[in-house]
Amino acid sequence: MTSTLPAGFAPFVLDSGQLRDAVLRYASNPLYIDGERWLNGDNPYRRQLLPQTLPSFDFSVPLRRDQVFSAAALASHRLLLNIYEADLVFLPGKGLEAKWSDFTAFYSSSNRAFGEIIRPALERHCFGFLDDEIDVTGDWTPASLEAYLTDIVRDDVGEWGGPERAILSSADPERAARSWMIQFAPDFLSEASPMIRNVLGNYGPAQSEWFKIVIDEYGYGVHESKHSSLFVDTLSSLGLDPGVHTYWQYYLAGSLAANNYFHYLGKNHENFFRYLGALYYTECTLVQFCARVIRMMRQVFGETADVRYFTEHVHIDVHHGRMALEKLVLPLVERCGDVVIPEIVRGVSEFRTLAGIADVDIAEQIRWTDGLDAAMREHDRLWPQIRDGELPAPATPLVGTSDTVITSDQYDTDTLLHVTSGSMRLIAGWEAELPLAPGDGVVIPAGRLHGATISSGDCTYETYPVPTEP
Amino acid sequence: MRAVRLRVDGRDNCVVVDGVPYVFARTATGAFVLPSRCPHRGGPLQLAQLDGAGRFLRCPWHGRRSSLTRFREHGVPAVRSGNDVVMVLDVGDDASVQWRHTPVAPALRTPGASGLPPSATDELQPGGDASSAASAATCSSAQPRCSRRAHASGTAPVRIP
Ligand code: FES
Ligand SMILES: [Fe+2]
Ligand SMILES: [Fe+2]
Repeated sequence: MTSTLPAGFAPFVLDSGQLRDAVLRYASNPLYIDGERWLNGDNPYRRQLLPQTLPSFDFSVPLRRDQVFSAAALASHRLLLNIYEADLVFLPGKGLEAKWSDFTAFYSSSNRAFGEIIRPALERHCFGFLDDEIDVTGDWTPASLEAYLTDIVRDDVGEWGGPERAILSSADPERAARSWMIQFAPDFLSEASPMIRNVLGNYGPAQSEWFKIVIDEYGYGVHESKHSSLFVDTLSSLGLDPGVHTYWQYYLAGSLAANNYFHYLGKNHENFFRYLGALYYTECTLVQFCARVIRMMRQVFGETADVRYFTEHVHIDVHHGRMALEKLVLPLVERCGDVVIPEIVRGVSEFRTLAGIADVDIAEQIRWTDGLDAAMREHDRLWPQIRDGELPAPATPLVGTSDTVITSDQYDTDTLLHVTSGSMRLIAGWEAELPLAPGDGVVIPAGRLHGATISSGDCTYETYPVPTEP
Repeated sequence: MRAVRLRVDGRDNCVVVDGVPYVFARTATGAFVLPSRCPHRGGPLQLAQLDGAGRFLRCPWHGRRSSLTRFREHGVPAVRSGNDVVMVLDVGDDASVQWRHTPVAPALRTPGASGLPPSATDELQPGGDASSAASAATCSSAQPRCSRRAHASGTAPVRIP
């Protein structure tokens, strides 16, 4: 950063070099270094950021719509989630004795300050494409807003969505359904925390109405009925660990984006009215969504799955949707004027877009984990051509050392991974692992999350971008 | 008040409500819903040229000028998400609503940075970009209302490069 400050008030912007340095400074916190563990378990402060990959990204430029599953998207959403969650309190279940330094490092003023410096640029990087994706135009009135809001949630007719279809047609529906539930951990295990950012301050009766929704989300002070507690029970009933971010390495960029969006709106109160729109939309659509999830879970797991999280929302979000419209949106438009309506409409559309992207992401990931055998066969088909130089492709020789994990990541092009010595377990998803010995390999599709563990002895492997078929 | 849908591009890019056709347009100065029948003698405003440094549309029939600022700021309230548009009209539930395809002048199809599809796709049926094709596959041609999940994004599935 330069030491000369502009005279007067000017927008805070880092150029791309300054931003890169600031991101690296933030990510060099030892909490974010990877390589040691695959699951984070009972330590809510350890969140792998792959700092060694970060210099290759230009976070100063917004991602395009077709880059939402890029490596940069994953990296920047991981960064953002950490920055947002420094506002939230997490404590390990088994005490802080051995984790005191992690606790203080995560909530330290340096971690917070370094994060705040890069947050605005990362938000623009992650969510800037929505400016192009969505136009709001014309002369909006309370009446046209209400007509729009009523109409937009009518679409939801209870048909299976992309994730449910992928799960039900999966070779392993239980595994696929667990993978999907893992995607909700960042959101549901600290449910309503982003929302609470909006009930601070003083803005009249609507504030108290919003607080009523918060009270429901928090189970009226009865811990067992807090929505996050219900989701803990869901995870436990499926044999999953309910630790906050145990499954950090399984989070997909699309899932992180949908979750981070609410933090982004709640953290930046110039987006307060977008949050209102997104709140209305999500509360309304969660009713049908949760009804579908219950049907899917019953079909996949029978009675063993604890679905009270979802039955609770089928019930209470009928009220929350109505309350959001009648007690929040319309009264606040009346108080603040029609100038806020386009923002409310934009919030609806932005969240719909991100929810759709998240749905596509998990469905694609399920198909990738189901297709590991085919991915190996594709390697076997292409490898002789690469080996014999028929496909000119630059190799990146890499070494994974014994007893380490290779933090999950994704490529921007289809990539062939080939093991030359030692062995690794490629991890494509929850319980979707593939042992690879020398000579083995896979083709990893662009945008598909994967990592690996190396159990004994070093493993050398090479990666090649797969040439597109002529 | 009634919400009515149409698409930016491809099939169903024009909706006729109680006899008035509407298209969605975008120029360098922003996006708007265009009631595309000229108030003078009914000329096709969706084929109009820009005039006055991009501030007006000039009707191809007798040259009547319409202000783009008026359409944007005082026109039909609407939101576009990807290729999908929802607009709200001051009509009742009994209004007649029909969809069709109509060519739109390139000047009214300025893409955003991430992109409305290029004008060349306009003649394709359905729209030549992946998102319109996917949308069309999930929607009846008569009414572009899709199930939430098929379209949840208001934009269709993202293609992985
Ligand atoms: S019909 Fe448009 S100017 Fe006459
Ligand atoms: Fe809830
Ligand atoms: Fe709710």
